[in-house]
Amino acid sequence: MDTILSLLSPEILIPWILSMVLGIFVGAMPGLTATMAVALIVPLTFHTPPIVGLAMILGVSFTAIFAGDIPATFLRVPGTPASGAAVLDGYEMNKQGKGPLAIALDLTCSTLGGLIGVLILITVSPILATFALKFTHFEYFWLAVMGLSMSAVITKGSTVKGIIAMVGGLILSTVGVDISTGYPRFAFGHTYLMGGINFIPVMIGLFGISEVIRSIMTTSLNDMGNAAVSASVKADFRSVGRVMFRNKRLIGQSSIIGTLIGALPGAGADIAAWVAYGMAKKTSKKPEAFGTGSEEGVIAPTTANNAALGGTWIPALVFGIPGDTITAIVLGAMMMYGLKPGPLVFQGDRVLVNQIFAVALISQGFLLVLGFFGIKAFTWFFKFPRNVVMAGITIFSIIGAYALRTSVFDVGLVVIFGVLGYLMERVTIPLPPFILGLILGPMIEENLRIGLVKTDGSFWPFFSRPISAFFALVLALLFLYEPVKKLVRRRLSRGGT
Amino acid sequence: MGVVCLAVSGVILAITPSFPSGQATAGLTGPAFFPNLLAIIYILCGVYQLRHGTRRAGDYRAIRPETAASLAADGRTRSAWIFIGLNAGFVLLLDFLGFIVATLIFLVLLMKKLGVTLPKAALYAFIFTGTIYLLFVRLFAISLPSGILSHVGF
Repeated sequence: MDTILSLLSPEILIPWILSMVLGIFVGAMPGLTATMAVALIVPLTFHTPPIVGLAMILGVSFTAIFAGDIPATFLRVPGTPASGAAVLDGYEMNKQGKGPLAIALDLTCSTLGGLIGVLILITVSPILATFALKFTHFEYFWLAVMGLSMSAVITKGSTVKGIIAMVGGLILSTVGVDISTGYPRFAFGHTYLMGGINFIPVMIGLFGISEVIRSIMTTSLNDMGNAAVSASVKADFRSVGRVMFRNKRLIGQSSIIGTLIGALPGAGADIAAWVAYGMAKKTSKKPEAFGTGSEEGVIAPTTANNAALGGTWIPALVFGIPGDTITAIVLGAMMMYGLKPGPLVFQGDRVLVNQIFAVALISQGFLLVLGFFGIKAFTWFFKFPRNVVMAGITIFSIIGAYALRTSVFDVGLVVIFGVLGYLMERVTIPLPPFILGLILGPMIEENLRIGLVKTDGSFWPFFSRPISAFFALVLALLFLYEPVKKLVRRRLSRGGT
Repeated sequence: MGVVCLAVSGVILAITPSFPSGQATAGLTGPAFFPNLLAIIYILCGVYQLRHGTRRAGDYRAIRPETAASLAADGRTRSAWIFIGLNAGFVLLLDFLGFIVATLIFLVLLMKKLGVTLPKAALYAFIFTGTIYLLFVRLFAISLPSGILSHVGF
């Protein structure tokens, strides 16, 4: 209690809340990521006491990850990479006039997911961190394959088209300097291509710009003058409690998936969201509703991505190993404050550790309040005529992509993938597997190749190590369970007749 | 679509022999290993699509509606092409004209094309450009191209 009270002084509260407000603005801007929000905040924290700086960093990351869901739900443009999966059902709900419920679910489930993630961080962080450290290249390979397998689960319609999209993303991920040999692959001598294809402009183009093109193709000029979001754009909290209670198992499941994936160094909130979405569909009683405006499809990714933030702090605090890019910046900042993250931090500076835990918990409360006002501020913009909003979202998407690496090349990518995304949807090739392939491609290739180097080209350790074998078994069960069940039923029904 | 898959895999398989070989056994660890693996999967997908796609192509042609709605859509197709052209123009001219000039021109032209009156389009263009400038350049300290306005300090 003393720890919590010590945080409620104006010197801590004011910068902490202001950072969280900034997090909402940055997170809701397509192209600007939660990592960028943290990077913007860090220089300001060098002149403050460590706990003020850490409160600002923690707060900004929680709000930025949530705020990415606002444009994802209303405009089909993910504000941050972690909101990529939130687009699928959030935007569909919005099209059905249930956007207010979707965004209210986003906010409350983000808060709850964050809360559960932090509670797991507080209670079992040393155990989880030890488990996470047992992961080598073999286990990371399977983890990435498991993430990729979710694309098969989330694909609607033709499985082959899903595979085409996924492999397309994987192929695109091979562009650029090879991680092992330094050889520039498919770069054709261009410096921009040597740096690889960043998935953020691709995602903005595929989801955002393609949606603008689709809108132009399907809306008459007369309707262009109407409000962009015709339904009420307030967050609808009336039925949220009921929906959340109905999906309590899913919230728990997604929080645990989010925290576990967050705790693995190198994975992050975006992968956590996709895996949670895929698992939600796999375990749902109504999997066919996913992608058509399913409440479960909104709850799972938004819960998991905020839970993952708590998870990323587990290896960071316990071993001083960053769980993602945000905690990598945080570790740098902690060293600047004169702190040494790692096992000794629990013995040496227990007060500070307790303060960090308390900040993470209280931030969830602030997120609920500030998120509510953030939704109000942004939904005001959506009441503008559709043609103005479309122009606005186009320019914000383009400038956001430029700001990522101050590169005109990334702006070009937004436009190219906007057109490609539109064409892909015209021929019913799903977009999410393409993004998953692009995100997970480097992780799969790197771990597969390094694993093979270690074993002189033998694939056996990918199956013989305990955790690897477990992952392989889970994957096999995931894909063989349904066909085997059908086969057994068919045999039994034949036997009965 | 099958043809596209085969073409992409053909390009990959034509380029990867120029990549250096891996250090360990059978080229499994070289830079060409993963792209080649993906190209093989794409060939399989391409062949599958060609076998199943040609049968469905006839159905698509049969159900294509030649109605008034599709004629109206032709005008919208032109609008979509203009939107893509404006975006491409913006990308090409961003560095030269600079963020402020390029954005103002882009937004006015885009909104005009989408049916906003010129005075309103100009007003919104100024508001959006100003907001982006304040947020990105002033608040987040992200440098955007100054272009032809570089000598006046933007």
